[in-house]
Amino acid sequence: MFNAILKNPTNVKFESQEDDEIIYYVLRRHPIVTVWWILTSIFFLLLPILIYIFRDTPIIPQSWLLIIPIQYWLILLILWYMVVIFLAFEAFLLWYFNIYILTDRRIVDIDFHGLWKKRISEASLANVEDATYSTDNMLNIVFDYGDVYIQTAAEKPEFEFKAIPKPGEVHDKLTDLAEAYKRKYGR
Amino acid sequence: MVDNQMIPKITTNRPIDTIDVNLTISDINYLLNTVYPILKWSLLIFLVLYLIISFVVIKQIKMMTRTLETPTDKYLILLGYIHFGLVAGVICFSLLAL
Repeated sequence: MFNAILKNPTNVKFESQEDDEIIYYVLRRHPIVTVWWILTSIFFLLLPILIYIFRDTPIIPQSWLLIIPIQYWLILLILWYMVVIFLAFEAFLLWYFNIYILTDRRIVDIDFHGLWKKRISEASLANVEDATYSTDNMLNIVFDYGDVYIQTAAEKPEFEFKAIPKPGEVHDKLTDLAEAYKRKYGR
Repeated sequence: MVDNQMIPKITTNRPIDTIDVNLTISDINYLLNTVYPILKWSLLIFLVLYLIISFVVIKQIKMMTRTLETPTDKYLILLGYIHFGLVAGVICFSLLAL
């Protein structure tokens, strides 16, 4: 369930999905782009331990710590860990729910920003005009992820599937589906 | 009571070393009457705001799970409630301890 690429998932459903609509791909950003917040969270989780280790040094004089009573430190410490874990959880939620969906009839881009911003864009496969994908740096090649750009005739002219795994495969499937859809239903 | 008298050293409960803090009586009064109350109220206000945010997060998770239904939905919502409960617990603890 925590994969960045789900092929033909049967246990995933999105809000505006029709009963007979088939999901081919659910895509998230590649896990490698989440490394920065994982490392940042680990660093902030370790920070109180670092402060404890360096408490007797000129960097952190012990006298600073003694001035504040122990119960304040305890609550500050609990609060610190809660806030760090909360921010990590929030970053996870945004990664988990910011997804791109490719179905047998449309593409859907679900975006959440911060605590309450939500934007859902979708375009029928009939409106897909052009799709390109790019891998721009060494990490893209090593971990096989990149961006897919989809030009559409829909209200939103361009969809960007950012940092998704296997962009070549997704691009291929998307163009095949769009062609098949247009052959079947016309534009 | 002698004001501004230098208190040379505060001894910790550690057996060997001592730590130079060099607080005067007025410093201690300042800490007790100004710094600690400010710290206490800042912490409590922050915690109350945090409690509101943790409630919003539950709503956010519910909105997200409505948008995309996956088998992990109930666990994520549960985590949201646990987080809210923990914040409420810390507020209670702070009210008692500070």
